Amino acid sequence: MVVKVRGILLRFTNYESSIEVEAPTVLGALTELTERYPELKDVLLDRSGAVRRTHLVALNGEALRPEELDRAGAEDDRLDIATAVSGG
Amino acid sequence: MPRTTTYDLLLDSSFFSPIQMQPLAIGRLGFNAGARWLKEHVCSHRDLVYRHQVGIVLWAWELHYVEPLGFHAADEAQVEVTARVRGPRTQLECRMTITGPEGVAVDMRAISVPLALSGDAALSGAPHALPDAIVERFEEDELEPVPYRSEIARTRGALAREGRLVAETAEPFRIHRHNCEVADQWFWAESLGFAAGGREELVARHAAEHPEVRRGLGAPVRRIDATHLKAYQFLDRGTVSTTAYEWDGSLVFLHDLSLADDGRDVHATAIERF
Repeated sequence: MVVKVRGILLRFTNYESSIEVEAPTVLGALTELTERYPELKDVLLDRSGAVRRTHLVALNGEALRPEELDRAGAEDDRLDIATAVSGG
Repeated sequence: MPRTTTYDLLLDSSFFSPIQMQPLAIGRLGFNAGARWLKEHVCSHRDLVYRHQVGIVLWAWELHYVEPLGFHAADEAQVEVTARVRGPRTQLECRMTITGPEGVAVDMRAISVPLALSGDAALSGAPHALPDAIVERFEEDELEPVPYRSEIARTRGALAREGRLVAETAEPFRIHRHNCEVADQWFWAESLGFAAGGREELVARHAAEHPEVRRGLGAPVRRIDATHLKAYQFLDRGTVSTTAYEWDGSLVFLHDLSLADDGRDVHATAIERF
């Protein structure tokens, strides 16, 4: 899966905007991503480990609800993680 | 009486074009003026964000140029700012005037939408009514139940129905850090700069065949309305699509700002009237 990270989140991935991860599911991809970039973990996930509702996760352009993060992903799938708005 | 914050503003040449105060400069001054009012009467912007977990994003902006004010005219101008909560606590309105020797030169109104921040370092948030702890610090006459309504949709409709389309153009841009605020999200007032850039490019390209658009460089803008629907972020690529109209005796520039790879997805709109 290729994870695409935009704007607000770039500083938490060392400014990598396109990141290849090997994982069978979206949740697995997020886990690998946050292990690779620990600062992103606190931003993306709340204390219970769920994706904060202020961030959007989309698989090949389809926005996923929290209960859909176990969706299977293939090697050439695109996973977008975006923050709609921040309050700075 | 709604509480005011007033102060003298030392004028420097960067605030001005040869014609008038620059809209982008006024946008930055207006945001700072709102932060001053908040600090004096409610809480600092920093406390609003980090202590109360409330962010604000600018949704609508309205600027009227009234009396002339050029850099040659004065060393200082007087700033007066008020603020109030509007609608069901879903808008925070800041109004700023800048007064020079000839009287009020600039009358600006900025309407923000409050966010409940999630508490992460990205300052991510979602629209939410202002919490009691903030609203109770406003006076009775600083609470306006009627929400602000932007003129953008109505003016866009009138331009399409009644205006004469003169020329149009599109210009790419990219959001760099100097266009952003603390969260690597664009600072809303930058829309005014990108819109002005679109207008200047339109004049540069089309003035030979449509000389009437030169007024967009040589005459003072009288009024600007803007709305911001989606946030650009650091390194986003955008396009400003500019259309010039003659309407109701005025030259009007309509600017739609979209993501470069999705022109239908309008992030912001600005309308400049000359």
